[in-house]
Amino acid sequence: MKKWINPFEKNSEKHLIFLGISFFIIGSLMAFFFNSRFDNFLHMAPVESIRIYQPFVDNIIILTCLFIFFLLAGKMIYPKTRAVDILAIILIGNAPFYLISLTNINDLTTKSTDAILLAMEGAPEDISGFYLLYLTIVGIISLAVLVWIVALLWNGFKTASNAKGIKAVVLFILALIITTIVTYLIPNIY
Amino acid sequence: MKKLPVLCPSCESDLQVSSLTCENCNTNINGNFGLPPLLRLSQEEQDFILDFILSGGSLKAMAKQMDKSYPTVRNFLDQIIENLKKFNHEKMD
Repeated sequence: MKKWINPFEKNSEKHLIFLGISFFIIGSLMAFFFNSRFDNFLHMAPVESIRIYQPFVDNIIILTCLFIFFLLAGKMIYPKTRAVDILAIILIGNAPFYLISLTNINDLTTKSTDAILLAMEGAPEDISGFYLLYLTIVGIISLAVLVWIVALLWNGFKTASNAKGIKAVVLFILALIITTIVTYLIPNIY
Repeated sequence: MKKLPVLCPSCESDLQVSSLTCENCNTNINGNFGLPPLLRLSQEEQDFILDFILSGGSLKAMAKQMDKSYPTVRNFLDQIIENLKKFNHEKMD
């Protein structure tokens, strides 16, 4: 169990970076096949059509923002924090989110959302039970993945920057919030 | 080798050396001597310091030897440094 939420204690940074890059490639390809865009950090949007390079660029933007803000936070806590360790953390920490694109297999998320929105405009009592159940399950899975990502990022950040005390927690939360805001503000015009 | 106790089993205060003996002529010296900071570290920390020196001061080699990641080992070393500073400070006082 521990290796799933804290692989940073034992594994070398080279091993983690190799794994993280593999997850990045597989995750981006999955997003392409399941018509999903990672339009900002911790956000997946089902789309009607997608070009193969788009999920790669989405993920590169998210990973770059995570890297910059986590490295800054790490250096503020512990000047000896290494960039290579932060790179390993963000590559592994963001990886579970790639699984979210699986929820849009056969465009199910798109169909469910569209069906519910359509029913809301007309007769809400006609909302399909299947779609409601499906979106509820997706919501629960997304929440579990979110907790997993935060646990991974925190454990990695704690190890890489020797983080202790309230200052470290505050800087970690700030890095997460700033990454979310910045990735939200970057327009997806590519 | 027997482990040197550094904390009192009764009240957990730091122990001091009160007797030193020459194995050759059995001369016995009694007094009250403080333990050097390095000996006040835990056994695990002392073992780490020994291995660290024997590995030529390489944290990478230590990480490999301990089957831990580099930052984990570096954090452990930082903890030891913090403890040694505290013991040294207490010694100065």
